[in-house]
Amino acid sequence: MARHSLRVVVVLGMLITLVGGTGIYATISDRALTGPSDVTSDSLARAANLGIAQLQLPPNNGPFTCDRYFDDLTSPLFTFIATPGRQADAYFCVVNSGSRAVDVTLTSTDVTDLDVACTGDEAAFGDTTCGSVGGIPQVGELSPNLTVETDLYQCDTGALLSPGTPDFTSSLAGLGTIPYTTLGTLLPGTQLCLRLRVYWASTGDLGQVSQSDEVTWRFAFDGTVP
Amino acid sequence: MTVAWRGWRAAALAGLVACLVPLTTFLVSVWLLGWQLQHVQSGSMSPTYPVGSLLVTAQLDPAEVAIGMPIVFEDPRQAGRLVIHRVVGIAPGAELAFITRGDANATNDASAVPARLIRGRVMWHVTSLGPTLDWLQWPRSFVLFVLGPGLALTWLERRHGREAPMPA
Repeated sequence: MARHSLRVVVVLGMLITLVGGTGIYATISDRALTGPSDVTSDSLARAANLGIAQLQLPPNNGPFTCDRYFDDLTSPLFTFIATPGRQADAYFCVVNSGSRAVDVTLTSTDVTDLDVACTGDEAAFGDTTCGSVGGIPQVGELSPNLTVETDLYQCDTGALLSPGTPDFTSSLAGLGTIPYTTLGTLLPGTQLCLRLRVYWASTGDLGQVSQSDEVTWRFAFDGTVP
Repeated sequence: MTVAWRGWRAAALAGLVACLVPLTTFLVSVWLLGWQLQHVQSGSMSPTYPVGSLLVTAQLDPAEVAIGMPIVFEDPRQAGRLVIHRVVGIAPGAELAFITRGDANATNDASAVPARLIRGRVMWHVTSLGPTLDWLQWPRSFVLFVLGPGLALTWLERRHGREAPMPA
Protein backbone atom coordinates (compact mmCIF):
# COMPACT_ATOMS: atom_id res chain seq x y z
CA MET A 1 0.00 0.00 0.00
CA ALA A 2 2.77 2.42 1.01
CA ARG A 3 4.83 1.57 -2.04
CA HIS A 4 1.84 2.05 -4.31
CA SER A 5 1.09 5.46 -2.79
CA LEU A 6 4.72 6.49 -3.09
CA ARG A 7 4.74 5.54 -6.77
CA VAL A 8 1.65 7.71 -7.30
CA VAL A 9 3.31 10.61 -5.42
CA VAL A 10 6.46 10.30 -7.53
CA VAL A 11 4.48 10.32 -10.78
CA LEU A 12 2.38 13.28 -9.70
CA GLY A 13 5.50 15.06 -8.43
CA MET A 14 7.19 14.60 -11.78
CA LEU A 15 4.14 16.05 -13.51
CA ILE A 16 4.08 19.04 -11.17
CA THR A 17 7.80 19.64 -11.66
CA LEU A 18 7.60 19.28 -15.43
CA VAL A 19 4.57 21.55 -15.81
CA GLY A 20 6.22 24.09 -13.49
CA GLY A 21 9.16 24.17 -15.86
CA THR A 22 7.03 25.20 -18.81
CA GLY A 23 6.82 28.81 -17.68
CA ILE A 24 3.26 28.87 -16.43
CA TYR A 25 4.33 30.72 -13.28
CA ALA A 26 4.89 34.44 -13.22
CA THR A 27 5.07 37.07 -10.54
CA ILE A 28 3.14 40.30 -10.55
CA SER A 29 4.94 42.88 -8.52
CA ASP A 30 4.29 46.30 -7.23
CA ARG A 31 4.07 47.62 -3.74
CA ALA A 32 1.85 46.81 -0.76
CA LEU A 33 1.11 49.09 2.13
CA THR A 34 -1.14 48.74 5.14
CA GLY A 35 -3.17 51.02 7.34
CA PRO A 36 -4.82 54.39 6.85
CA SER A 37 -3.22 57.81 7.19
CA ASP A 38 -3.58 61.42 6.23
CA VAL A 39 -0.85 63.28 4.42
CA THR A 40 -0.88 66.92 3.48
CA SER A 41 2.18 68.41 1.96
CA ASP A 42 3.46 71.08 -0.28
CA SER A 43 6.93 71.32 -1.67
CA LEU A 44 9.31 74.10 -2.42
CA ALA A 45 12.56 73.01 -3.91
CA ARG A 46 15.42 75.33 -3.08
CA ALA A 47 18.85 75.49 -4.65
CA ALA A 48 21.67 77.98 -4.68
CA ASN A 49 22.71 77.43 -8.25
CA LEU A 50 20.14 74.94 -9.40
CA GLY A 51 16.95 75.40 -11.33
CA ILE A 52 13.92 73.19 -10.99
CA ALA A 53 11.03 72.48 -13.33
CA GLN A 54 8.01 70.28 -13.53
CA LEU A 55 8.48 67.36 -15.90
CA GLN A 56 5.93 66.49 -18.56
CA LEU A 57 5.61 62.79 -19.22
CA PRO A 58 5.11 61.76 -22.84
CA PRO A 59 1.92 59.79 -23.52
CA ASN A 60 4.09 56.93 -24.73
CA ASN A 61 7.74 56.18 -24.16
CA GLY A 62 10.08 58.86 -25.29
CA PRO A 63 12.07 61.89 -24.25
CA PHE A 64 10.95 63.84 -21.21
CA THR A 65 9.95 67.46 -21.57
CA CYS A 66 10.95 69.88 -18.84
CA ASP A 67 8.77 72.93 -18.19
CA ARG A 68 10.25 76.36 -17.58
CA TYR A 69 12.89 76.33 -14.89
CA PHE A 70 12.50 78.31 -11.67
CA ASP A 71 14.68 78.85 -8.64
CA ASP A 72 11.86 77.50 -6.50
CA LEU A 73 8.51 75.87 -7.11
CA THR A 74 5.61 77.12 -5.09
CA SER A 75 2.78 74.82 -6.13
CA PRO A 76 1.84 71.98 -3.76
CA LEU A 77 3.55 68.70 -4.55
CA PHE A 78 2.00 65.77 -2.72
CA THR A 79 -1.48 66.12 -1.30
CA PHE A 80 -3.21 62.86 -0.65
CA ILE A 81 -4.64 60.57 1.96
CA ALA A 82 -2.37 57.58 2.45
CA THR A 83 -4.31 54.36 2.47
CA PRO A 84 -3.12 50.79 1.98
CA GLY A 85 -1.48 50.38 -1.40
CA ARG A 86 -1.71 54.04 -2.35
CA GLN A 87 1.30 55.92 -3.57
CA ALA A 88 1.88 59.27 -5.19
CA ASP A 89 4.47 60.25 -7.78
CA ALA A 90 5.95 63.58 -8.82
CA TYR A 91 8.41 64.15 -11.65
CA PHE A 92 11.04 66.90 -11.81
CA CYS A 93 13.86 68.28 -13.85
CA VAL A 94 16.82 69.82 -12.06
CA VAL A 95 19.33 71.86 -14.05
CA ASN A 96 22.77 73.09 -13.11
CA SER A 97 22.81 76.68 -14.27
CA GLY A 98 26.11 77.41 -12.59
CA SER A 99 29.57 77.42 -14.06
CA ARG A 100 30.96 74.40 -12.20
CA ALA A 101 29.92 70.82 -11.60
CA VAL A 102 27.92 70.31 -8.41
CA ASP A 103 26.93 67.37 -6.25
CA VAL A 104 23.16 67.43 -5.97
CA THR A 105 21.58 66.36 -2.68
CA LEU A 106 17.94 65.75 -1.86
CA THR A 107 16.71 66.64 1.60
CA SER A 108 13.44 67.19 3.37
CA THR A 109 13.03 70.43 5.26
CA ASP A 110 10.39 72.08 7.41
CA VAL A 111 9.02 68.69 8.41
CA THR A 112 6.06 69.13 10.72
CA ASP A 113 4.44 66.05 12.23
CA LEU A 114 0.95 66.42 13.62
CA ASP A 115 -1.23 63.86 15.33
CA VAL A 116 -4.63 65.16 14.27
CA ALA A 117 -6.76 62.26 15.47
CA CYS A 118 -6.59 59.27 17.76
CA THR A 119 -8.13 56.37 15.88
CA GLY A 120 -8.16 52.61 15.82
CA ASP A 121 -5.54 51.01 18.06
CA GLU A 122 -3.20 53.99 17.92
CA ALA A 123 -3.22 54.63 21.65
CA ALA A 124 -3.18 50.94 22.50
CA PHE A 125 0.09 50.56 20.59
CA GLY A 126 1.83 53.09 22.80
CA ASP A 127 1.25 56.42 21.08
CA THR A 128 1.47 58.81 24.04
CA THR A 129 0.77 61.84 21.83
CA CYS A 130 -2.36 60.46 20.27
CA GLY A 131 -4.80 62.97 18.79
CA SER A 132 -5.42 66.58 19.79
CA VAL A 133 -5.57 68.23 23.18
CA GLY A 134 -7.86 71.20 23.43
CA GLY A 135 -8.13 71.31 19.68
CA ILE A 136 -4.35 71.49 19.22
CA PRO A 137 -2.77 68.47 17.50
CA GLN A 138 0.02 66.76 19.37
CA VAL A 139 3.25 65.55 17.80
CA GLY A 140 2.70 62.94 15.10
CA GLU A 141 4.78 59.97 14.02
CA LEU A 142 4.19 59.89 10.28
CA SER A 143 7.44 61.29 8.84
CA PRO A 144 9.59 58.33 10.02
CA ASN A 145 7.04 56.02 8.39
CA LEU A 146 6.55 57.88 5.14
CA THR A 147 8.85 56.37 2.53
CA VAL A 148 10.35 58.45 -0.25
CA GLU A 149 11.75 56.62 -3.25
CA THR A 150 13.84 58.42 -5.84
CA ASP A 151 14.28 57.13 -9.36
CA LEU A 152 16.61 58.82 -11.81
CA TYR A 153 15.83 58.90 -15.53
CA GLN A 154 17.69 59.76 -18.69
CA CYS A 155 15.95 62.95 -19.77
CA ASP A 156 16.61 62.43 -23.48
CA THR A 157 15.15 58.92 -23.62
CA GLY A 158 12.84 58.71 -20.62
CA ALA A 159 14.54 55.48 -19.57
CA LEU A 160 15.30 54.59 -15.99
CA LEU A 161 19.00 54.84 -15.19
CA SER A 162 18.89 51.73 -13.04
CA PRO A 163 15.75 49.67 -13.61
CA GLY A 164 14.62 47.23 -10.98
CA THR A 165 14.96 49.04 -7.72
CA PRO A 166 14.71 52.68 -6.69
CA ASP A 167 17.98 54.57 -6.83
CA PHE A 168 17.43 55.90 -3.35
CA THR A 169 14.99 54.96 -0.61
CA SER A 170 14.60 56.79 2.64
CA SER A 171 12.01 57.74 5.17
CA LEU A 172 10.86 61.33 4.95
CA ALA A 173 12.43 62.00 8.35
CA GLY A 174 15.64 60.29 7.23
CA LEU A 175 15.97 62.60 4.23
CA GLY A 176 16.54 65.48 6.60
CA THR A 177 19.45 63.86 8.41
CA ILE A 178 23.15 63.51 7.63
CA PRO A 179 24.43 61.87 5.48
CA TYR A 180 22.19 63.51 2.93
CA THR A 181 21.01 61.61 -0.12
CA THR A 182 23.36 62.53 -2.98
CA LEU A 183 21.69 62.16 -6.34
CA GLY A 184 24.91 62.51 -8.29
CA THR A 185 27.15 65.07 -9.92
CA LEU A 186 25.58 67.50 -12.36
CA LEU A 187 27.83 69.13 -14.92
CA PRO A 188 27.26 72.77 -15.90
CA GLY A 189 24.35 73.15 -18.28
CA THR A 190 23.10 69.60 -17.78
CA GLN A 191 19.86 68.50 -16.26
CA LEU A 192 18.64 65.66 -14.13
CA CYS A 193 15.22 64.00 -14.47
CA LEU A 194 13.80 62.19 -11.51
CA ARG A 195 10.72 60.79 -9.92
CA LEU A 196 9.83 61.10 -6.27
CA ARG A 197 7.43 58.47 -4.99
CA VAL A 198 5.84 58.78 -1.58
CA TYR A 199 3.95 56.10 0.28
CA TRP A 200 3.13 55.14 3.81
CA ALA A 201 5.48 52.42 5.00
CA SER A 202 3.09 51.34 7.69
CA THR A 203 3.73 47.98 9.22
CA GLY A 204 3.43 46.64 12.73
CA ASP A 205 3.45 48.91 15.74
CA LEU A 206 4.92 51.88 13.89
CA GLY A 207 2.12 51.68 11.36
CA GLN A 208 -0.45 51.68 14.13
CA VAL A 209 0.94 54.71 15.96
CA SER A 210 1.34 56.72 12.75
CA GLN A 211 -2.24 56.32 11.55
CA SER A 212 -4.43 59.39 11.22
CA ASP A 213 -1.37 61.63 11.41
CA GLU A 214 -0.51 64.50 9.13
CA VAL A 215 2.88 65.66 7.96
CA THR A 216 3.92 68.69 5.95
CA TRP A 217 7.35 69.29 4.48
CA ARG A 218 9.34 70.65 1.58
CA PHE A 219 11.86 68.91 -0.60
CA ALA A 220 15.10 70.73 -1.23
CA PHE A 221 17.63 70.11 -3.99
CA ASP A 222 20.98 71.57 -3.08
CA GLY A 223 24.04 71.86 -5.27
CA THR A 224 27.48 71.82 -3.71
CA VAL A 225 30.74 72.28 -5.58
CA PRO A 226 32.83 69.24 -4.64
CA MET B 1 7.24 -1.76 12.67
CA THR B 2 4.09 -1.28 14.72
CA VAL B 3 0.60 -1.46 13.32
CA ALA B 4 -0.07 2.08 14.57
CA TRP B 5 2.94 3.43 12.68
CA ARG B 6 1.84 1.67 9.52
CA GLY B 7 -1.60 3.19 9.93
CA TRP B 8 -0.23 6.70 10.36
CA ARG B 9 2.06 6.29 7.40
CA ALA B 10 -0.71 5.03 5.17
CA ALA B 11 -2.99 7.88 6.23
CA ALA B 12 -0.28 10.48 5.57
CA LEU B 13 0.45 9.09 2.14
CA ALA B 14 -3.23 8.93 1.29
CA GLY B 15 -3.61 12.56 2.38
CA LEU B 16 -0.64 13.58 0.26
CA VAL B 17 -2.05 11.82 -2.77
CA ALA B 18 -5.45 13.41 -2.14
CA CYS B 19 -3.79 16.85 -2.23
CA LEU B 20 -1.55 16.18 -5.18
CA VAL B 21 -4.23 14.79 -7.50
CA PRO B 22 -6.29 18.00 -7.71
CA LEU B 23 -3.14 20.15 -7.72
CA THR B 24 -1.69 18.18 -10.62
CA THR B 25 -4.99 18.23 -12.48
CA PHE B 26 -5.16 21.99 -12.01
CA LEU B 27 -1.60 22.64 -13.18
CA VAL B 28 -1.83 20.33 -16.17
CA SER B 29 -5.16 21.90 -17.18
CA VAL B 30 -3.66 25.39 -16.96
CA TRP B 31 -0.73 24.27 -19.07
CA LEU B 32 -2.87 22.53 -21.69
CA LEU B 33 -5.16 25.54 -22.01
CA GLY B 34 -2.19 27.87 -22.49
CA TRP B 35 -3.00 29.90 -19.40
CA GLN B 36 -0.55 31.27 -16.86
CA LEU B 37 -0.42 31.44 -13.08
CA GLN B 38 0.54 34.78 -11.61
CA HIS B 39 1.22 35.62 -8.00
CA VAL B 40 0.26 39.09 -6.79
CA GLN B 41 3.00 40.44 -4.53
CA SER B 42 1.74 43.93 -3.87
CA GLY B 43 -1.37 45.83 -2.94
CA SER B 44 -1.82 48.22 -5.84
CA MET B 45 -4.90 46.30 -7.00
CA SER B 46 -6.39 45.82 -3.53
CA PRO B 47 -9.08 44.98 -2.71
CA THR B 48 -9.85 43.40 -6.11
CA TYR B 49 -6.72 41.25 -6.05
CA PRO B 50 -5.22 41.21 -2.54
CA VAL B 51 -1.57 40.52 -1.91
CA GLY B 52 -0.89 36.79 -2.21
CA SER B 53 -3.67 36.15 -4.68
CA LEU B 54 -3.12 33.58 -7.38
CA LEU B 55 -4.32 34.81 -10.75
CA VAL B 56 -5.10 32.55 -13.65
CA THR B 57 -4.52 34.59 -16.77
CA ALA B 58 -5.11 34.00 -20.45
CA GLN B 59 -3.78 35.75 -23.52
CA LEU B 60 -5.66 38.84 -24.59
CA ASP B 61 -6.03 40.42 -28.00
CA PRO B 62 -5.49 44.19 -27.59
CA ALA B 63 -8.59 44.73 -29.72
CA GLU B 64 -10.63 43.16 -26.90
CA VAL B 65 -9.33 45.53 -24.23
CA ALA B 66 -12.08 47.65 -22.73
CA ILE B 67 -11.99 50.51 -20.27
CA GLY B 68 -12.43 49.15 -16.76
CA MET B 69 -10.78 45.83 -17.53
CA PRO B 70 -7.82 44.70 -15.41
CA ILE B 71 -4.99 43.69 -17.72
CA VAL B 72 -1.61 42.09 -17.24
CA PHE B 73 1.15 43.97 -19.04
CA GLU B 74 4.87 44.35 -19.14
CA ASP B 75 6.02 47.51 -17.40
CA PRO B 76 6.89 50.02 -20.19
CA ARG B 77 9.74 51.34 -18.03
CA GLN B 78 11.13 48.02 -16.87
CA ALA B 79 11.34 45.19 -19.35
CA GLY B 80 10.23 41.84 -18.03
CA ARG B 81 8.39 43.19 -14.99
CA LEU B 82 4.74 42.18 -15.05
CA VAL B 83 2.06 44.46 -13.66
CA ILE B 84 -1.68 44.08 -13.37
CA HIS B 85 -3.60 47.34 -13.38
CA ARG B 86 -6.98 48.50 -14.61
CA VAL B 87 -7.47 50.24 -17.95
CA VAL B 88 -8.86 53.72 -17.32
CA GLY B 89 -8.51 55.25 -20.76
CA ILE B 90 -7.04 55.24 -24.23
CA ALA B 91 -3.85 57.24 -24.69
CA PRO B 92 -3.77 59.77 -27.53
CA GLY B 93 -1.30 59.09 -30.31
CA ALA B 94 -0.77 57.07 -33.44
CA GLU B 95 0.09 53.87 -31.63
CA LEU B 96 -2.67 52.12 -29.70
CA ALA B 97 -1.86 52.50 -26.00
CA PHE B 98 -3.81 52.37 -22.77
CA ILE B 99 -3.78 54.49 -19.65
CA THR B 100 -3.74 52.26 -16.57
CA ARG B 101 -4.01 52.62 -12.85
CA GLY B 102 -3.95 50.41 -9.78
CA ASP B 103 -7.24 50.35 -7.91
CA ALA B 104 -5.46 51.41 -4.73
CA ASN B 105 -3.19 53.99 -6.33
CA ALA B 106 -3.76 57.72 -6.10
CA THR B 107 -2.58 58.44 -9.61
CA ASN B 108 -2.56 56.90 -13.06
CA ASP B 109 0.54 55.00 -14.08
CA ALA B 110 3.31 57.25 -15.35
CA SER B 111 3.50 55.70 -18.80
CA ALA B 112 0.81 54.53 -21.16
CA VAL B 113 0.91 50.83 -22.01
CA PRO B 114 1.40 50.13 -25.72
CA ALA B 115 -0.75 47.31 -27.07
CA ARG B 116 2.34 45.23 -27.81
CA LEU B 117 3.13 45.03 -24.07
CA ILE B 118 -0.21 43.54 -23.08
CA ARG B 119 0.28 40.02 -21.78
CA GLY B 120 -3.17 38.88 -20.73
CA ARG B 121 -6.37 39.17 -18.78
CA VAL B 122 -7.50 37.61 -15.54
CA MET B 123 -9.75 34.59 -15.90
CA TRP B 124 -10.21 34.14 -12.17
CA HIS B 125 -8.26 34.39 -8.97
CA VAL B 126 -7.84 32.59 -5.68
CA THR B 127 -6.99 34.60 -2.60
CA SER B 128 -3.87 33.62 -0.63
CA LEU B 129 -2.83 30.71 -2.82
CA GLY B 130 -0.01 32.54 -4.61
CA PRO B 131 2.78 32.02 -2.06
CA THR B 132 1.95 28.33 -1.75
CA LEU B 133 2.30 27.67 -5.45
CA ASP B 134 5.40 29.86 -5.60
CA TRP B 135 6.91 27.76 -2.84
CA LEU B 136 6.14 24.55 -4.67
CA GLN B 137 8.14 25.44 -7.76
CA TRP B 138 11.40 23.79 -8.78
CA PRO B 139 13.51 22.60 -7.02
CA ARG B 140 11.23 22.17 -4.01
CA SER B 141 8.61 20.26 -5.98
CA PHE B 142 11.28 17.87 -7.22
CA VAL B 143 12.79 17.32 -3.77
CA LEU B 144 9.44 17.00 -2.01
CA PHE B 145 7.47 14.94 -4.48
CA VAL B 146 10.04 13.10 -6.58
CA LEU B 147 13.37 12.76 -4.84
CA GLY B 148 12.10 12.20 -1.28
CA PRO B 149 9.33 9.74 -2.12
CA GLY B 150 11.65 8.06 -4.66
CA LEU B 151 14.27 7.40 -1.99
CA ALA B 152 11.61 6.15 0.40
CA LEU B 153 10.24 3.90 -2.31
CA THR B 154 13.71 2.49 -3.02
CA TRP B 155 14.24 1.79 0.66
CA LEU B 156 10.88 0.05 0.94
CA GLU B 157 11.52 -2.03 -2.17
CA ARG B 158 14.87 -3.21 -0.83
CA ARG B 159 13.38 -4.06 2.55
CA HIS B 160 10.52 -5.88 0.89
CA GLY B 161 13.03 -7.86 -1.18
CA ARG B 162 14.95 -8.93 1.92
CA GLU B 163 11.80 -9.94 3.79
CA ALA B 164 10.35 -11.97 0.90
CA PRO B 165 10.52 -15.75 1.56
CA MET B 166 13.30 -17.57 -0.23
CA PRO B 167 12.14 -20.16 -2.79
CA ALA B 168 12.31 -23.75 -1.52
